[in-house]
Amino acid sequence: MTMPLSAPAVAPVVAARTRVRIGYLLVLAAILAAAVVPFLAPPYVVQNYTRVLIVALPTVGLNLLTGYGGVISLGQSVFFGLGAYVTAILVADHGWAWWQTLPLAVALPLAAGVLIGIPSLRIRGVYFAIVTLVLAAWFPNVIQRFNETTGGNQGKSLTVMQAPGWLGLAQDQYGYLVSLCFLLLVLLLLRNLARGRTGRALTAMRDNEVAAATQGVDVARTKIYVSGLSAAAAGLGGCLYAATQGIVSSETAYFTVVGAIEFLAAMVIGGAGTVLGPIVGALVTERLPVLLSDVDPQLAVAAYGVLLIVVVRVMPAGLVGFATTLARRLTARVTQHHTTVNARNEGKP
Amino acid sequence: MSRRNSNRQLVPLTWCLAGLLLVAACGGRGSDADTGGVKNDSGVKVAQVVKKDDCTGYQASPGISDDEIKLGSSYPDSGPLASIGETNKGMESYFKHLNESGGINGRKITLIGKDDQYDPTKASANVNELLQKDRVFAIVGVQSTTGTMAVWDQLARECVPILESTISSATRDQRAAHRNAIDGLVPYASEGYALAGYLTKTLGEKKVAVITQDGSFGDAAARGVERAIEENGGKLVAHESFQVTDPTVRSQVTTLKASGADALVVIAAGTKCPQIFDTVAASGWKPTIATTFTCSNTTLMGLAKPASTDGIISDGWVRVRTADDPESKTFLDAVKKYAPGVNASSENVAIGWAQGQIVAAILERATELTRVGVINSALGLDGVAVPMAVDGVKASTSADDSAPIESVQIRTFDSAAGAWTPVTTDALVDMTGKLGDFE
Amino acid sequence: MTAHPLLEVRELSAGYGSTTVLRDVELRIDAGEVVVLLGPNGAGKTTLLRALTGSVRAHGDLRFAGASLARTTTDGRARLGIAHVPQGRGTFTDLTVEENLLVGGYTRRDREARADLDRWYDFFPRLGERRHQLAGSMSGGEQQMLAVARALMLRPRLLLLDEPSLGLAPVVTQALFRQLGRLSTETALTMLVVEQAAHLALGIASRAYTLTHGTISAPLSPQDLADQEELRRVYLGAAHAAGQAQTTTKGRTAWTSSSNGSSTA
Ligand SMILES: Nc1ncnc2c1ncn2[C@@H]1O[C@H](COP(=O)(O)OP(=O)(O)OP(=O)(O)O)[C@@H](O)[C@H]1O
Ligand SMILES: [Mg+2]
Repeated sequence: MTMPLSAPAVAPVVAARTRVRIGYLLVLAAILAAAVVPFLAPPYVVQNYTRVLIVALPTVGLNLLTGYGGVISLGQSVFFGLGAYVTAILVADHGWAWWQTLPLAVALPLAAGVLIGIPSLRIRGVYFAIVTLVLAAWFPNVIQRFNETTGGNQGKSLTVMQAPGWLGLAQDQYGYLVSLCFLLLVLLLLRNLARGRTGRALTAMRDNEVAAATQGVDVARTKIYVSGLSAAAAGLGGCLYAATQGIVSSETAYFTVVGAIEFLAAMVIGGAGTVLGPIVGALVTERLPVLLSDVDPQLAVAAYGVLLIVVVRVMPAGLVGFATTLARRLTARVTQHHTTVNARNEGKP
Repeated sequence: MSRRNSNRQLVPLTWCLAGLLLVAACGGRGSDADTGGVKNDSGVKVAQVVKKDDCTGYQASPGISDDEIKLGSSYPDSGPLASIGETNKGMESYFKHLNESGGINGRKITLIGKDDQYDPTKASANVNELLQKDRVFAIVGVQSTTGTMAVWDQLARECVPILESTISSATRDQRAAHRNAIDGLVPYASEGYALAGYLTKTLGEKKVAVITQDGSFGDAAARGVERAIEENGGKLVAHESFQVTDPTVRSQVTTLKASGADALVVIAAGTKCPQIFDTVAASGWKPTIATTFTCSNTTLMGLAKPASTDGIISDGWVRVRTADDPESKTFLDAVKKYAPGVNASSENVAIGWAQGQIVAAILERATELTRVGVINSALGLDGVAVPMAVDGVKASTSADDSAPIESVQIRTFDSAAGAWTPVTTDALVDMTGKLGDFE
Repeated sequence: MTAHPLLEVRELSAGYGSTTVLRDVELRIDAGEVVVLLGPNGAGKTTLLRALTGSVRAHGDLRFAGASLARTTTDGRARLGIAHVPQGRGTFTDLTVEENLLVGGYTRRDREARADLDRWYDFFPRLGERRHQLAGSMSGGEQQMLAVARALMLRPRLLLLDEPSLGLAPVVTQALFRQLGRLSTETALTMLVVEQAAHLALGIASRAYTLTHGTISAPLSPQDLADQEELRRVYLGAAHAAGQAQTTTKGRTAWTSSSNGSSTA
C-alpha cells in the first residue's frame, strides 16, 4: 500500500502553485482595473457599474447560503430592501448620515435572516424556496402598507452620499469607490469563511447532512448562522443602494421578486460555490439585458433567457467554474510539458 | 499556510487604499465647456426666471444642431405598467408628424426613448445615459413621479429641462425647488378640486364622501377635494382610504355609505376603480360618483358592471376624439402611420400627443435654444392653446406655477355606449394659478 | 469503584417511521476493546450504529462513559468522541480529500486537526498523494479509506465502523484490518466493527455479538466463536463453502495471533 512519491505526483502540485499565482495576478489586475474605471469612464457608466458592485453584494451572500450551503432562497430581495429602507428612512427623515445607518442596515436584515433560517431546518429544498418566494412577493406590499414611513410606491428620496471635499471626487466616483471597497471587504470575509471551517462544513452538509452531523457539524446552528450572514450582506448592499441611488420605492425592481430572481441568476451564471462567481454574475445580469435592449428591446428578454439557459446547460459551474476548469487544464498541460522536458534534460549526460 | 493567507488578504485592501489615494491625486472630473447660445427665430420674450449663473456644470445646447433637436425620455415599455408608456408613443407620433411639416424652424425633433419598467432607479440610469451618452438636449415625458424625482435634484442643479413629466403629486415647495421640471398632467390636487367643485357648486350636493388610495397621489387629490367642499359650503362627511393591495374595499364602502353622503369622490387608479364602482353599486348605495382621470380609461370602466358606472363623472383636458373633429383625424392617422402597433383609442396615447404639442410650443417659443432659454420658455406660457387640448383649455405657467394645464372639462360616462361625453353646462373648470391654494 | 464501560446500551429499540427494526438490544463495550457485530443482511446492524450516533429514532438507555446520551444530538455525540464510518462511505464528494479530513476534525481546533493530517497520510499514503483531489472522483476503495481516515480525524474515543471492507479488494481489506489492528494495539482505540469479512474482523476482536432480526445475542468470547461450528459456518465460511477446513484454520490462526498482540499491548 505504501507507494514512493513519484514524479507524476509532483506535477499537479507544481501546477496548483502556478495556478494560484496566475489566479492571484488576475485578481489583482481586475481590482486595479476596477479601481481606475471611475477616472476613465463618464458618470453614467460609473453609475451603471456602481449598481453592478452593489448587486454583487446580495449575490455574494446568496452564494454562501445557496452555492455553498445548498439552501435555495428566493428571498434575498427582502433583505436587500430592508437594508435600503433602513438607510433611506434614517437619512431622509431622521437626518442621519448614510454611514451612520450602516450598522442598523446590516443588523436588521441579519436578524431577519436568522429568523428565516429557523424554518429552513424543517422546510427543505423546493418548499423552502417557495416560502422565501412568497416573502419576496409580499415585501413590496409591506412597503406600501407602511407608506407613511416608506413612501410606498411614490418612493422615498434621500440625499446621496457625497465625497468629502478634500478628496475632490465627483459624487458618482465616490459612490463607486465606496461600493468597491465594501464589496472587496465582504468578498474577503466570505472567502475566508467559505474556504475555512464554515465553508467546508457547509459543503459537507450539502453533500451529506447526516454524515456531516456525525462528524460533529452542528447543522442547525450552521444553517441559521449562514442565513443571517447572507442576509447581512444583502442588507449592506441595500444600504449602499439607497445611499448611492437617492431613491427607493416599492416599484424598485431589486426589492421585488424580479430582484430576487436576478440575484439568483447572477449567482448561477457566475458560478455557485465559487468566490468570484457573484461578481461576474452581477456584471452579466446587470449589464447584458441593457446592452441587448439597446439592440432590440423586444428581442432582448428572449435573447437573455436563451443565454441563461445556454450558460446553465453548458457550464453547470457557471462562468467562473468554467474558466477555472479551463485554466486548470491549460496549466496542467503546460507544467506536464515542462516536467517532461526537464526530465529529458536531466537524463542527458 | 495561514500566514501566507493573511498576507494575501491584505493585498486587495492595500490596492483599494492605493486607489483612493490615486483618486485624491487625480482629483474629480472637470465639466465640459459651456457652449454658445442658439438663436430661435420664433422666440417670444418671457421673464428670465432661471439664469445660467444659477446652474452648476451648465451646458447650454447639447443635442441641438442646425437640423435636429434631440430629446430623451424614460417610460415603462415592458412590465406590468407598460400601458402607461403608451403616452410616449403618442408623443413620438406627434413629433414625427411635426417633423414632416418642417419641425421647429427647420430642426427635426428626435425622441430617444428608454424603458424603465416604472422602476425609479432604471429611470435615473436611463436619464443619465440619455444626457451623457446620447447627449440629448432635454428630458421629456418621464411617466412616474418617482422616476422624475429620482433625477430632478441633479437636473435642477445642471439646469436640464424636464418637460411634460409626471410630478402631479409634488408640493409647491418641491416645485419651487425644481423650476426645470414642468408637469405633464393636471396636478392631482387641482383635479380633486375640479371634481368636488362640480359636485358641490354645480350639482349642489351638500354631503360628500371621499375614498382615496393611500399615498401621495391620494393625499394630494384629497386636499383639492376638501378645499372645494369648504369653498362651496358643503360638508365632507366621510373619508376612507385603501391600500392598492387590499383584497376588497367592502369595509370602506360600508363606512362611507353609513355616513349618509349623497356624493362620492373616488380617487383611485387601475383595477381598484371598477372594484370600487361595483362594490358601491352592490351595497345598494346610489351616490353621485365623481372620479379622477386615472380611473376614466374606457377599458377600465368596461371592467365594472354597466349599471355600476353609468353616469359617473370624471374630467379630462385632452379632447374627446370624435369622427367629425379634424384634430382627432390628424391624430388617428398619424398614430396609425408612426405607431402602428399602438391602440389609438387609449386615452394615454392622446395625452402623449397633446404633451408633444406642449413640448413643441415650449421649444418654438424659446428665444434661444439653450437649456436655460427653454426652461424660461416653459415657465412663460401665457395661455397657449394646443390643438389636442379641449377647446378653451390653455397652457399657462409662471415662475411659481410649473403646471401648464390647470383647467379640465367635466364629462359623464355613458355605459351603454362605453364613452365619455362632456356635460353641456359649465363643462370647463379653470383653476389657473390656484395650485398653491391646495396645500 | 468500578470504571464505567465506555458504551453501555440497554433495552434499545430503534426504527424508521412506524417500523421497528431493533428490539431490546443490550450491548457493552469497554474502553480499549474491539467488538465485532455480525449478522445477516437486513438484521439491523447499520441501524444499530445509526442509533448510537443519534441519527435514527431510538428509545432505551444509552450511556457513554457513564453519562446518558438521551439528550445528546448527533453532533454532540461526535463532540463526545463517537466517530462513525457509515456503510457505503458517505464521503463529501464536493470536497477534496484534505477538506474531507478537515471536516473529520471539525470538533477540534483547526490547527490541531491540520497537525493530524500527515499522520493519516502516512497511514493511508494513497490519500496523501491525492489530497487535493475531489473525493467524488476517487475510486470506491480510496473513498473507503478516506471515510476511515475522516472518522479517525475526530480522535475518537469510540470508532463505529460499518462494513469498512465493502468494495475493497481482498488485499486492501487485509491491509485495512492490519492498520485497524495496529491502531487498536498502539493506541488502544475502542471500536465497534460491523463486518462481512468476519474472519478479518474477528482477527482483531476481543468480543463479538450477533444480531438477527433486530435481536442481539449475548456477548460471545473469541473462544465461543471458535467453538461454535454453526456460527463459523454462517458468518465465517459463507464465501468459502468449498474449502471450509482451510478457512477455519485460517480464521483461528488469525484470531490467535491478534489476540496475543492485543493482550501484550
Ligand atoms: N432509511 C430506512 N427507512 C426504512 N427502513 C429502513 C431504512 N434503512 C434500513 N431499513 C430497514 O431496516 C432493516 C435493517 O436494515 P439495516 O440497514 O440496519 O440492516 P443491516 O443489518 O445493516 O444489513 P446489511 O448487512 O445488508 O447492511 C431492513 O429491513 C431495512 O429494510
Ligand atoms: Mg448495513
